Amino acid sequence: MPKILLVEDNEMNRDMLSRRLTRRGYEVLLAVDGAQGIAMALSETPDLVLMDMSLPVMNGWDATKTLKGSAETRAIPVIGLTAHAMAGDREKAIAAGCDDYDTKPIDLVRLLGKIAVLLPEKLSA
Amino acid sequence: MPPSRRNYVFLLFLFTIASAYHVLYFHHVVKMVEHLSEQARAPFQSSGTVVSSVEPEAITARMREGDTIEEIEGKPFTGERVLDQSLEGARSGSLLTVGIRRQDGITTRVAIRLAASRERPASVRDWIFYVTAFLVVPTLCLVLGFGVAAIRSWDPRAWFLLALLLSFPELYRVAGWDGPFRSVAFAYQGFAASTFGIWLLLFGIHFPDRARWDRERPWLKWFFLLPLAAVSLIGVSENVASQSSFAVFSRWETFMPLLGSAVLVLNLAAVVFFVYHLATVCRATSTPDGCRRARILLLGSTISCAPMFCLVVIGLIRSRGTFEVAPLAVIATVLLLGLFPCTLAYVVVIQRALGLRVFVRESLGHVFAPWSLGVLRLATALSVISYFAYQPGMGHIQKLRIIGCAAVLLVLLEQRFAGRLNLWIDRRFFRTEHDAQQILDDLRNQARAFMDPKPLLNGMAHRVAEALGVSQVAVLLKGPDGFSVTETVGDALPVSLGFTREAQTVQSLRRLNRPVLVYFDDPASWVHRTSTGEQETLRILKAQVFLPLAGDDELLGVMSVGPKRSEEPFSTTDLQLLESVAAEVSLAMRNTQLVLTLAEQTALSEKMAAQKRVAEQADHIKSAFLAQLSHELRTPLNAIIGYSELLLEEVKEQGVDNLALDLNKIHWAGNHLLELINSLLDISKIEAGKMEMYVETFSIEQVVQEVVQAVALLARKRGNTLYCELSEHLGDMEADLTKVRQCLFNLLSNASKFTEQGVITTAVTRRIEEMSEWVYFSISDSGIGMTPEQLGKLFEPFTQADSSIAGKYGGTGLGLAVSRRFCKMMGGDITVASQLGKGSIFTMKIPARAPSFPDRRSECDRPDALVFQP
Repeated sequence: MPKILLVEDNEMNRDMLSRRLTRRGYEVLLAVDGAQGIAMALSETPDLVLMDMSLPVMNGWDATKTLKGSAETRAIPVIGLTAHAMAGDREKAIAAGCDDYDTKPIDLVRLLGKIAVLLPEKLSA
Repeated sequence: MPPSRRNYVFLLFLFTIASAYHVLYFHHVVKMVEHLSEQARAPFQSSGTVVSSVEPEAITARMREGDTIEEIEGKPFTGERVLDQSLEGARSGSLLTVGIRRQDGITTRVAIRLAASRERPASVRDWIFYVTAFLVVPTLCLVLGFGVAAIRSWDPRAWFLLALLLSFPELYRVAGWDGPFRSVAFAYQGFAASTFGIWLLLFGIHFPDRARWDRERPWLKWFFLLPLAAVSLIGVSENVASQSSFAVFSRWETFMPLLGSAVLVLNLAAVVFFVYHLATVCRATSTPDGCRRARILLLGSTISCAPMFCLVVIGLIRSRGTFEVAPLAVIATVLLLGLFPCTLAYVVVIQRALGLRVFVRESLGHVFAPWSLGVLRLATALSVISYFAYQPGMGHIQKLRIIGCAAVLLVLLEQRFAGRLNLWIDRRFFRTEHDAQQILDDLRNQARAFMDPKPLLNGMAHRVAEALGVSQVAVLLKGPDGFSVTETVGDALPVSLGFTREAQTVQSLRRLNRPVLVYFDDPASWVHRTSTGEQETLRILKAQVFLPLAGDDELLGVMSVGPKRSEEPFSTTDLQLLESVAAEVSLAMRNTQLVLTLAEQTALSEKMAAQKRVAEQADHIKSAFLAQLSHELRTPLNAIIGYSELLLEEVKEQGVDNLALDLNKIHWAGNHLLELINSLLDISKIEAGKMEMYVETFSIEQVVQEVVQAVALLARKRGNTLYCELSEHLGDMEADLTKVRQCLFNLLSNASKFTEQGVITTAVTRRIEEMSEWVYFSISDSGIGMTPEQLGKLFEPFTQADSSIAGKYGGTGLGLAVSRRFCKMMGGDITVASQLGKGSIFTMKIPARAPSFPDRRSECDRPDALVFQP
């Protein structure tokens, strides 16, 4: 069962998204800020990280950079999530090392498609 | 025949005679000088037939004063001409046989061995003398006399001047050649010489203006003129007649010496009158101008004629010939004679005479001018060379060496000292003029330092007035409707005074770009071509000189300089100075203008930069605010949409369908709100110029199919049929895929919304227009259509065809506005055609190859552009 780490500070969104992903059969781990996200990525080695970009303590871009800069976590795909729809967000996310990017509010079907692209072998397994 | 033409015909006639005489005379002189050592001289002079003086060779042949000549070489001695004919071509040494009757009645014949006129052949000095006296001075008189008469044929003074100048060289010339015109020449010469006094008197009476006593009692002058004319005529007639026959005037013989004396005395009286008259005029006269003219003439004629007068007196005292003094002195004296005609012509022709001091100073200025220095240098070199070349007993090499050294030395000395000498003379003798020049020079230098034109112009006007002693100076600067008075020195001038741009004065100054003189008295002056109004302006300005203040390509202003207090005219030096002052002031004004323009531009660009900064800040704040707002709005929306979807799924699983209907409404409302926010954000981004373009290549057909499929559900809901008409070979296009998709979706969903039980056709073609490829997406429906009024505001934000539509058909009213803006960003457009009740056709055209979009990415790279931390 693919393990997804959801890093999100907003409680409602965290709850809603985790429940919907769980319903789709994913194991969802939760973190509330960038630092915790990194810690959990190291300890739990998830198959994929859904990283909100606006996070307290350590923001999503920095957290992603740290993950992608560390040998242990470099291989884990990261999908950046942001409520920003303004110019440059996409580039910044990609530049920080995100493998893909999506905007909130989440279109679940679209997000599942992106996850599926990044985790083909896990799903087939 | 009009009087002026008659004048010219008469002038031409006179000129023919005078110049013919002049040429023949000089020819005769040349022939004589060439054979000076071979040509025999006359051995005796006679008065009538009686010998009056004898040369040594005649004494040797035992001829005595008082003898009567009866015949020469067998011909009876009937006139002077007989002797001239016998001597014509006779060489020295040959014998002349003369039959004489002695006083005691004895008749005899003597053979005179003729002597040469001169022992040595003519030297260079002789040639210089003859050329100066018989060619240079008479030619000068001829040219100046006829020139002045031709220019001023309406002026009696010009005619008297001509007569005076024609008679002047005859005072010392003696006609004496044999030939066909011998009598005419004698008559001409005699008449011209003896009437000198008449012309001098007439000229004097009319100079500078006609004398008052002559105007009141015009008959008075005839008391003098008539006797002089009479004795002259008699004298001339006798002279001419005695050439061929002594018989005619033999009865007058005793009166002849008396007649000659009378002519001499009357002429001398005329000269004395003339000098006295000039002196009176100098002291007190009606106009200062006339006074200045008289002074110049008096000085000129004194310098010119006094040396000759001295020579004559010395000659008489020493009872020798006039020219039998140092040859160089003779040449100088004769050369000085040339000054007389020049001065006469100057005082008659000049419009306004300069003061004597200024006149002399100007003349000295010419002497020290480079061109005259060059002439002087050449003359000096030639004199040095000829002097040494004619020194006997000196080797050629020695001569050359001395000549070379002397020439180099002279040239160097002249070069070195000419300027300094001029300056010294200026300071020593022409204090006031020198000071004025100094003041103007200072002003010229100061002009460069001025930045503000106002004090500069004011200063210039005052200094010019002060330095030149001018009572009225005005500066007229160019304004929107012509040139108007800005600065004034002297009488206050009306502010309205000025010139239009087309005024003759302005045109002349613009064309000539140098000082222009205003001279009303000259009928040929440009002043008379001006309009009456302009002439009135010139009179009010009291303008005598106009100076241009020239800009780069047009006049910035003009300066009018009024008359000098002394009423003197402006000298060449004055004009040169004024010109250079004007040039410097123009330059300063141009600089000022440049600096002002530059300052204005700098201020403008600074202002613009500040405005831009403010705008950028505002823009940045707006962007940040939008980003914040969108975030804050989306986060709860996220929950609303997400939870409603989640609940829907759970409700379906649990089979509670009655709840699903309400949940659907919540979900729909959430989505609608999201759509609204997105559109608003799009519009704001577009208007802030923040909307990005991601150009990629994609298949047109694929996009159309995707969108049509996405809309299919909505279309079917209202019973619409969707058709696709795609032309073949649509291929790929290069554009922002997301935006093309959004636009298409928007148009199609609109069509579906406003059509029920109808047909919606999507036609896509590829066309070449205006040298580039376009993709046309045409969406036509058979829906409700629109009125022209509705069409007019269709693409405005928040405008739907009718406010009731939102309720009935839904939609945000932003879709079309956003779509059209997207299309325009991609270089295309959306157009619409519609008919109420029949349907609408929306046509979207987009370039198949995206034109180069302005790179907006750079703006996004600014670290703080759009990032905020919640």
